[in-house]
Amino acid sequence: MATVTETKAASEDKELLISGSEAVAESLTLADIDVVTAYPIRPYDTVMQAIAKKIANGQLIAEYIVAEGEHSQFEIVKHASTVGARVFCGSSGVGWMYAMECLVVTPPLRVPMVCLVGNRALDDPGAFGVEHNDALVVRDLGWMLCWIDTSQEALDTTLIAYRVAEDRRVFLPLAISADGAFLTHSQAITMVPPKEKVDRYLPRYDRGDLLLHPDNPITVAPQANEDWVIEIRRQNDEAMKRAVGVIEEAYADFRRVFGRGPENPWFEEYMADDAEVILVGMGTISLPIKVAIREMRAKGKKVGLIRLRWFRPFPFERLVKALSGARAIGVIDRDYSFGSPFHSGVVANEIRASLYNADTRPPLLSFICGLGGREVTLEDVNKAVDMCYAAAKSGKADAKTHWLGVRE
Amino acid sequence: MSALICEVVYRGIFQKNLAARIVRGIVLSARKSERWGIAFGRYGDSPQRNGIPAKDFAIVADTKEELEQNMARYEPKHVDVTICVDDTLSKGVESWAWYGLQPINRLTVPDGTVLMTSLQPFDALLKDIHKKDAPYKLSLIRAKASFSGLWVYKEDHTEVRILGALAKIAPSFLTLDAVAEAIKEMEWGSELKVASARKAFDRIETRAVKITEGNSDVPFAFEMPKWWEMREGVTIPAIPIGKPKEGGQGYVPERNPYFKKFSTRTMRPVIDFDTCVKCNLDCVPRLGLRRDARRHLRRQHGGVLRLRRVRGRLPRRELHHDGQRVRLRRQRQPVGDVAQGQNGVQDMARRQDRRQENHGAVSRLPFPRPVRRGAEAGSRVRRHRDHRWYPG
Repeated sequence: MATVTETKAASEDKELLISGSEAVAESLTLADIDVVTAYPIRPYDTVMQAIAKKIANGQLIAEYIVAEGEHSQFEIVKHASTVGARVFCGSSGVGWMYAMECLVVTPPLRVPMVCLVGNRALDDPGAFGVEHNDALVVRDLGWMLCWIDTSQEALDTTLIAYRVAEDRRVFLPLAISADGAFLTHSQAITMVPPKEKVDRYLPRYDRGDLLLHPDNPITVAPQANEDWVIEIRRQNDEAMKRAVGVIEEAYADFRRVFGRGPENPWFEEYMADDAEVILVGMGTISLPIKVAIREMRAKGKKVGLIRLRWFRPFPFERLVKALSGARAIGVIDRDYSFGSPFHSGVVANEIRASLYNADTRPPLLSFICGLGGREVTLEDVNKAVDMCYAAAKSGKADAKTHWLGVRE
Repeated sequence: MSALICEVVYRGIFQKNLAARIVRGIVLSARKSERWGIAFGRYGDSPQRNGIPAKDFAIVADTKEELEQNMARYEPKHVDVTICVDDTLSKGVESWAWYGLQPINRLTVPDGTVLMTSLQPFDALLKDIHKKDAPYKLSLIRAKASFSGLWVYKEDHTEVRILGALAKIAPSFLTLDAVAEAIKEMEWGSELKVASARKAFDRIETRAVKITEGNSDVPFAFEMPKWWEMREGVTIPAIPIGKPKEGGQGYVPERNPYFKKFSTRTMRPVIDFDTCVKCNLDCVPRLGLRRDARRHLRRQHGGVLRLRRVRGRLPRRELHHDGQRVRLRRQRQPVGDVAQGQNGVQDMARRQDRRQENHGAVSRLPFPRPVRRGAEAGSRVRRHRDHRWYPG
């Protein structure tokens, strides 16, 4: 880490009304990042503006580099990270796609870059509403992926992200996904911890023998052909496996230091203990689902929600355990995977694959909903639950994927 | 023998088209006797690189099934005929794809043939060609190496002479008549080329090579590391500086213990720490060279004026504002040649740069543990000072 930013000593959390993007910026200040790159695209640009303000106000000392495009943006932080700087980057939608070449090479180089993906529909058609497909594009490449739901979770997860990504056992990039508009632009009461607590939680970034420096002369990313590449991929695979334990460790430490945080790092379970029907989703989709669940519970329907926080590494074992008690499962994807098995969304097929070897396999229904930032209504959720109950009664789910909220 | 496998060892760019013509010629000639074949280059090679050793292969077989059987591997593990179109490759091949030195006869089967274009006598060539644990034949076509370019081709008939010689080496697969017929049908064929092939058939010189003959050097061998033994992050440590050359001009670098590729592959750049400016922007070793460091300074810090200051040894504090720079520019005379300022960079590194405080985080990164022998306690103070004073 390059420069220590001086902050006023405070021992208690302070309460702020901030958006998800501003919460991320608060967290970056606390994490004392060294290099941040920026290139505007909505909705990610809100975090870029928030960091710029922090630097301009002297709250954070960091290199703030406005690149000429996302490709350069991610390249710059990649290289800064290799010389030992704690870095932050981000983008949205097609901007994230424009950086694809850099995104691909970051995991094998073991660069613990943390970035924010403000989820946005991929063009065309030009749209800036939320869809999860942008972040999901890197799901097979060695990126850790998590989804956040509230501004508090945005702040906490950003700190956890650095702790996990910069752990020597992992050293993989991590993308925090935040639903465009619903989270990036919505302000909520957020507890901001004091710097001293963060210092206790987050160690300095130490790249060790991988540090690119004249005193540690190394070659990074040489040409490697078939007699090396598979070994490099195997290393990445192992790092991702190790990340599972590191994430659990990071959440446990977070609870110890900050006195808050979930017991289960992987997913939030909402009224899922005794649920007959469990809905599964990611991101801010949880809000209308929770409201609908409360209404249904009042009518005697035992419905619950599992909101996935981590998509990579995918918590398949814990998820199977949590889902196996249900009579039916409904997975609501805010993404699409055209031509995939059952023409389902990405999350639905991941869960189907996870359940394949399970002793108990409840019927699973796949839903696609809220694309392009369209509102997920209570009616949509109720419709999904009704179909799940029908599947629970028959013990079978149809292989069809249901699109909710689409004009038919 | 139901299949004939040939390799052509050649030099990238200069003989790329030559090798391609030879392997195509082999397949098309064999086709005249109803055989099946395939011609291909080694995928891992990079034949577009200047002079890099590369390989093409030709496999012909009696039936499609036999051909597929021989194709069901990345590349042939043994060949009946090794064709070498540049006798300097007789010392061995270290191609783009190959890790370590590969003797020219490494893939040649026992009693197989190494066919080479050369003007050297057999004995001279066998001083370079490595010993083999089985007898084989060395055949020569008396010719210089045929070099051309990527887009041009030297029509010196080398390709047809090779094909004519092959008809002598493997007559059961390539008859001379079949070769002649194929040459005539090729887009580059002619009666004159057919005559060249026939002459090569008659003039090829062959000598049996015993297992006791050849260069007795054992090529460097190593074991590839397991995935958990490899460094992470696709990184390779630089090799230590090694020992000074006799006479004090330069260094003989030590071998990289983790990434062994025999000769030139291990000649990785060595940083000259005495002249490295520690700019922190990169570990490109050329920054350790004074001239390039100066070029770098010009690019990064104030353009020409900065260089003038370096040469003129002006105090840095005079350069804090653009206005001062303009004034200074007017005062200074054009600089002389590069030689006048040769020690400027060194001098600058010893001076305090007050602007350092305004420089960003990256330029003040901590130093890692020194890994270079001689970079321990004694020199650490000086390095730290250099780093702090130089803005990077």
